Amino acid sequence: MKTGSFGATRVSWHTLCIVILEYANSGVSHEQERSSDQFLNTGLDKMPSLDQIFALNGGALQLRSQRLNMLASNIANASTPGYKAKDLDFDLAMKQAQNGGSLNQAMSDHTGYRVPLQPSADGNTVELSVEQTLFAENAIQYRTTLSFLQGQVSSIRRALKGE
Amino acid sequence: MGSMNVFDVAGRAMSAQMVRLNTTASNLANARTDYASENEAYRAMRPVFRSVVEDNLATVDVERIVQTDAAPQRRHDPTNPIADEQGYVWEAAVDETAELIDMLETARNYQNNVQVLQTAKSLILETVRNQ
Repeated sequence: MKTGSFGATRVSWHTLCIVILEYANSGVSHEQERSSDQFLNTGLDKMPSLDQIFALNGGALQLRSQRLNMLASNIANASTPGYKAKDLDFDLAMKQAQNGGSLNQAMSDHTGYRVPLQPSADGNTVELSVEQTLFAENAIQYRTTLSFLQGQVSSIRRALKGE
Repeated sequence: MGSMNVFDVAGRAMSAQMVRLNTTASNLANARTDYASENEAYRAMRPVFRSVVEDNLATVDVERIVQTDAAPQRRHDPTNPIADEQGYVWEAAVDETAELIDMLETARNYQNNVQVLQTAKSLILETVRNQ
């Protein structure tokens, strides 16, 4: 008696399950069709790739890091006779990179020698006050670009999580 | 990126400045010492710096250490046991004032490279830690 009632409930539970599944399946397929139609109509399939999204700030960060290296080289050679200080014109290099040029090409195109405020007798054109100021400025600009990039990453992550 | 990074640049510059500080220390230690002849008198030592360029990076190495050609001063000191027959001794050719100024410049350059190292380190760590 007990087992019979148990079997009966099992059967009824199964039927319920199948009904729900069928209903769910039909619903899902219907939803899928509609959403894919919408997707095509709104042009959402043309979403930019992650590379495109990060191109601006990623490129800027690379240029900043290259400039950091150059200024570090200048500071390292502050007392090398005949050393010519080099620097990167960030604005021009960034403009060229944004207009579709490669980053390395933009970097080498806009790297130049510094004109010293007061030339020294041994031919060295490193002026520590200038280099130190630019180094500190560049470090802050690197941090700023980095925080923009982190903001982009966290908003994409939030969108993926659906928060 | 080549084989050299910003840590190599600052690190090698620090070693070069350290060599320079060592020569300054040797020069100051030997200042005001007397010698029996001009040939054996101490002459100040100086490192010769040369920049090493790789891609966009340039660090510095000590190419060699040279002795300056400053002439030792002859001084009349007949009571000195190493004085010659005429009573003369030769003083080490070291300009102490110049050495002290050189020492200050060396210390400043060394500190600058330490600062570069610290800034580069913290920027890289901030980039890696990216949340």
